[in-house]
Amino acid sequence: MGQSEGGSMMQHDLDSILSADDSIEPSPRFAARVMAQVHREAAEPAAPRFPWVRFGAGVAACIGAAVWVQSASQEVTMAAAAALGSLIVAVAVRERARAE
Amino acid sequence: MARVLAGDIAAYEGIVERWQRRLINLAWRFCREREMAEDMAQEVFLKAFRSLSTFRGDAAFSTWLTAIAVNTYRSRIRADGLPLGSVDVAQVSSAVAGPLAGMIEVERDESVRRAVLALPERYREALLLFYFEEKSVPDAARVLGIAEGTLKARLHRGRELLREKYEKSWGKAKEDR
Repeated sequence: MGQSEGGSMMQHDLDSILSADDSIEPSPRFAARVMAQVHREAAEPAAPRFPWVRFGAGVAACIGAAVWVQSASQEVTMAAAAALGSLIVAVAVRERARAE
Repeated sequence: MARVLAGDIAAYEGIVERWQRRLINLAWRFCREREMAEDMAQEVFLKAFRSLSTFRGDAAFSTWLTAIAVNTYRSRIRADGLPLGSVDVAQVSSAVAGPLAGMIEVERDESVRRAVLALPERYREALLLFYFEEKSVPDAARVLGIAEGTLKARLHRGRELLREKYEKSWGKAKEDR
């Protein structure tokens, strides 16, 4: 028996086996078990959905507040620096005037 | 299905009864164990129930349901592994419908079917779906979501691997007869 002939017979055997009907029948209570689980799930309250809209609004508000604080703090810093500079100049002028 | 979507849950039983044999037998081909097969099939019915509203009708309901089944069985086998112990001929012969051809043939045939399960996943699924869909390449390819050419290539390679495994043992068995 040549190799190709043996190979095609082997393939035929495998094909026959895999094609053969080896079905099983569902257990008598299978459908009832499935439906019991389906009814249980349907009776459970729906899980609350994540509030994406509120979450997004909250994130946007936080970002806005952070930007506002940062810009406000920059203004405060500059104002404080300007005030301090003015004070230093004023003190220096007064001391000079005293000295004269 | 329309009744189920309208809220008549009891109507889903009709779907279960209509498709239970198909899903259980597909699971059976994936695991060769009745209890595991029914457990996996039950999981499929629950998943289908939860996602019925997503069925658009652009594919046959059978294809949609079988695709859910294949994905579920694949995930379960990846997670739990296969219960591939030694072939229990008595269990197989009691589970399988039809007359026995003989204990030796039953054991040989079961050994071949289990050898398919031991193949790499893509070849295993190609062979299982092809024979499950009665050798329809288009149907099996549609369920797997792959091109027909891809399926054919996987079938070819899967059969080659099976042949390599059995050539020696069968060749010797035939010589001994």
